[in-house]
Amino acid sequence: MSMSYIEKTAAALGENLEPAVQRFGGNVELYARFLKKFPQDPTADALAEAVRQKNYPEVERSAHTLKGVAANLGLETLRAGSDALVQAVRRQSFQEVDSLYESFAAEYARVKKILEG
Amino acid sequence: MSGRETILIVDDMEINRAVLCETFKDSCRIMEAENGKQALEYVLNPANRISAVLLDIVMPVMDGFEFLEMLHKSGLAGEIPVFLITADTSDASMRRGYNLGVMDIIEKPIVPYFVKKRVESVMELFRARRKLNRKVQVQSDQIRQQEREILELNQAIIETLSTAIEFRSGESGSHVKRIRRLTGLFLEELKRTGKSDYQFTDEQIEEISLAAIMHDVGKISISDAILNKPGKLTSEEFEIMKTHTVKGSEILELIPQYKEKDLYHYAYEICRYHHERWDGKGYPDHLKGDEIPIWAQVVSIADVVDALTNKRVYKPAIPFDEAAAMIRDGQCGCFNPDLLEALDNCSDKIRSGNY
Repeated sequence: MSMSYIEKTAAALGENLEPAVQRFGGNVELYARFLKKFPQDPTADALAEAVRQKNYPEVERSAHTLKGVAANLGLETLRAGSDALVQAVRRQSFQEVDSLYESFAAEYARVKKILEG
Repeated sequence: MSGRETILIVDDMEINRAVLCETFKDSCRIMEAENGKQALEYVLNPANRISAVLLDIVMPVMDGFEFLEMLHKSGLAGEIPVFLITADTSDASMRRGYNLGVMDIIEKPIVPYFVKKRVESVMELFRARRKLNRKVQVQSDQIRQQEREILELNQAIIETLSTAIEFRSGESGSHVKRIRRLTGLFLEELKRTGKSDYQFTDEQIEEISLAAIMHDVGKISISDAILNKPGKLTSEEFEIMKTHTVKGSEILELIPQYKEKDLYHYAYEICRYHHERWDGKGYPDHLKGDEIPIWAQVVSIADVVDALTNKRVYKPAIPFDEAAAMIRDGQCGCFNPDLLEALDNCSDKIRSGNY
C-alpha cells in the first residue's frame, strides 16, 4: 500500500492526514487498515439510536468515543462535530443536540462513502 | 536487571491501543487490556511485572477512575506510574485523575514523540527509586547485623568485668553466670503467677538478668584486707563492707550511657538495694516491702541461694532443701512472700541445676 492511497483519500476528505500517519509511527499499512475499519464501527449507530431515544448520557458516551477515534485518524471535521455534541450534552443544552447531530450525520455519511469507495 | 520493561495499555478501542503500541513497541514489552477490570487483573499479577500503565478513562465494565481507586486499595499505587491518556481534559476530570495519583495526563489524540518522552522520563525516575530502595534495604540489614554484634559484645564485656571484680572476693565466673540465670528463672516464675506487678516483657527479663551480673561491682572499692578476711568482720569493717552497695551504684552513675539505657537503671537499683530486707532492716537506705524495686529483691534472694548452695572458702556447699528451709525460716534475710513462693515453685529446677 503506497502513500498515494493516503494522498488520494486526504484530497477527497479535504483533511491533512499526515499527523495521523505519524501517530501510527509512520506505519502506513496499519493506519490504512484502521481507516478502512472506521465505517464499520458500531459506535456511530449507537449514537444515532441514542439521539433518537433522547438518551443523553448515551449520546455523550458514544460521541466521546467517536471523537477519540476520529481524532486518532485525523478526521478533524468529524472530531469537531462529535466534540460539539459532547459539550452540548454537558451544558444540558438538549435542544441543540438534534441539529448538531444532523450536521454530524451528514459529514459521517460523506466520510463513510469516501473510505468505503 | 536491565532489559525491557513491560507497559500495560488500557483502552476499550482497538485503534487507540494500536496507536500507543506503535509508539512504545520498540522500547518496551506491551500488554493490552480492554477495560479496568482486565487491567487490574494484569497489574495485580506479579508475574507480569508491569512497570507502567497507560490508562483511558471511558471504558465499559470498569472505567479508568474506578481502576485507579482499586489500584489504591491494593497498595500498589505508589509503585507503578499511571498515565491518563484521554480525550476528556476537563478541569474536573484532570483534578480527579491527579488526586487519584496519576503521574501525568496526556491528551488524545497523542503525539507519539512527546508521549514517549513524558512516559519514559517518569519510568526512569521509578527505576532509580527502586534501585535506591534496594540499596537502602541492603544497608538496613547490615546495620541490624552490626547492632546484634554490638549487643553481644556489650554482654560479653559486662560479664567479663563483673567476673573480674567478683574474682577478687573469691567468687568464680560461674557464680556470675548462675546469678544471671537464677534471676531470669525467678522473674519468669513471678510472671507466671499472672500478678499485674510481675508482667515483665521478655526484653525486660533479659535486661534485668544481665544487670544482675553487676550487683557486686561496688566491691572493687573495698580493700583486700576486708574483702578476703578469713575471720568474722568487726562492726567497723562490716560498715565499710556495706558501702559496696552505694559505691557500686555511684560507679554506675559515672558511665556515660547511664541516662539512656534501661539496663543501667536496673543495675543501679540492683547494686544499691540488693541488701535491703522486706522488713526494712536492710541497708543502705532501710527500704521496706514494696519500696524495694522487685528486681533488687530477686537478685537479693538469688544471691543468697547461690551463696548457700555453693562451696565457699569459709563454708561447704549446703544442699538445696536445707538452704531453702533456712531462707523460709528467715535465717538468711527477710523476703517478699511472693518470692518465697517462687522459690518453692522453682525448687526442682534449682536443685537439679536446670535453669
